[in-house]
Amino acid sequence: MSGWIFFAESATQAISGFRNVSEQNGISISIVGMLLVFIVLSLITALLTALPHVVEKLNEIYPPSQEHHAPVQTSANDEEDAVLAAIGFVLHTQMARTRD
Amino acid sequence: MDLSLVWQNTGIANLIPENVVMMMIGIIFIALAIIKDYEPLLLVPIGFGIIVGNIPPIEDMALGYSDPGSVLSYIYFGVKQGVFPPLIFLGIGAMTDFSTLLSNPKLVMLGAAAQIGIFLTLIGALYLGFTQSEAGAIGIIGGADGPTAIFLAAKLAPHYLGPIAIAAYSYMALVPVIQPPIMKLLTSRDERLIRMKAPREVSKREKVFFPVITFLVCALIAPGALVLIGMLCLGNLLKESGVTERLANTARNALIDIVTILLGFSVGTSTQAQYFLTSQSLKIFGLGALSFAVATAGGVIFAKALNLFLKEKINPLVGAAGVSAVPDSARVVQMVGQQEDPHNYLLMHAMAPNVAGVIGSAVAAGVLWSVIK
Repeated sequence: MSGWIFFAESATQAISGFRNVSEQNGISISIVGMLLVFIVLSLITALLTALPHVVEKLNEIYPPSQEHHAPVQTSANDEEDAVLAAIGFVLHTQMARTRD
Repeated sequence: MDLSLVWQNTGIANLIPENVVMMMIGIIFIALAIIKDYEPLLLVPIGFGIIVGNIPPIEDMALGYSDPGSVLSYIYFGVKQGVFPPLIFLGIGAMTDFSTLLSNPKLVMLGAAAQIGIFLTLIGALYLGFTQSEAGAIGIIGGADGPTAIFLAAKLAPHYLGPIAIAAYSYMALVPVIQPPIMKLLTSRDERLIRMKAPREVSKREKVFFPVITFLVCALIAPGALVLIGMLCLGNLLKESGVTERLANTARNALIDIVTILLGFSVGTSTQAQYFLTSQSLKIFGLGALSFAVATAGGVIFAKALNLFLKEKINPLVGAAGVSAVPDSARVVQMVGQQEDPHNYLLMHAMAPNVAGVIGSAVAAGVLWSVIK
């Protein structure tokens, strides 16, 4: 008998718990909430998937090199000079170490 | 002079055992931060705030965070009114590189899937007898985002802000402990060995468009997320535009550091023993642990489900990074992946759902605030 009472009490508590979930619209809030999160992030995913193609079209009309803050174009000669300077620096430091 | 009156106005005379327990907790937080390097930027201010907040109040002296006119109340204003979390998001936006997300947009969905932890925890909280507002505030712990949790708790359940914030930050620090067993349980060895293609190069223009697009989509569908997502996107735009480097630098360094100190400290001071050491707080901690576990499982399972439709498979471990504890959960993915194959570098792939999870949890908070308020 006492076992039945315990079970009945437990069942009442369990019903109360689920009753609170139901009365407070827990399931519907959760479903709507998850749906909205998925809708927002799905939309962002779709737009980001299309973004590279949009940027490619934009680059044809307005190339990045024409931007006000576009990086300065260096000529091939400038880069070659920089490489030669770097090689010279490394050689110099290596020779200095050998002398020491 | 009445010496008994002097004695009555001391902290020692008004100290209760619960205050001592809370101070010990504060000391443990500080010790974990310094000795174990567990989220020190948060646990040191929070831990010290707990100690400060549990000095017993003295009658007729405005000392505590809830005493009008006290210094702590002015600092706590930023928490109570939801000012600090958006400022933190400004700094987060200014320091986050969304390139990996832009190079593989489908990984954003893993960030969405991980938010199931929020909503299942909400149901769990209702089951335990909390009200709708309280359950919403408790559920957001599953978003694994401290500022978002504080923001929503301040709106929906300010009386539980202390335990919710402590639970959120504590479990964020414990991500390397909570996540790996769940990740290994839900994945096979073959799945953990999946190597993913290196992310593509992302142009500057894509990085500039991203915050504008993201903000418009989020704010127009879930306006409750306006301020959090708005500040996140503003910070990112400051970073990526290339013309506001000074502002971006301030946002990701000085500003975020200042706000972190004030936020952590004031949250700590709000954990007064008589309101914190209750059975409800214990339930919140239990639900918090559950929320992290469910969020991890949700991300991993969704990644496995996606693989049924994809030719280029995703390593399902990456789904666990949808739990937006940036960058800890991404690091955990890297670590678990390298346990199977030391040459499998998953970190950059995991960063995509990791940062998507930040957006997802902010959107979830906005939705909960609009629906529940």
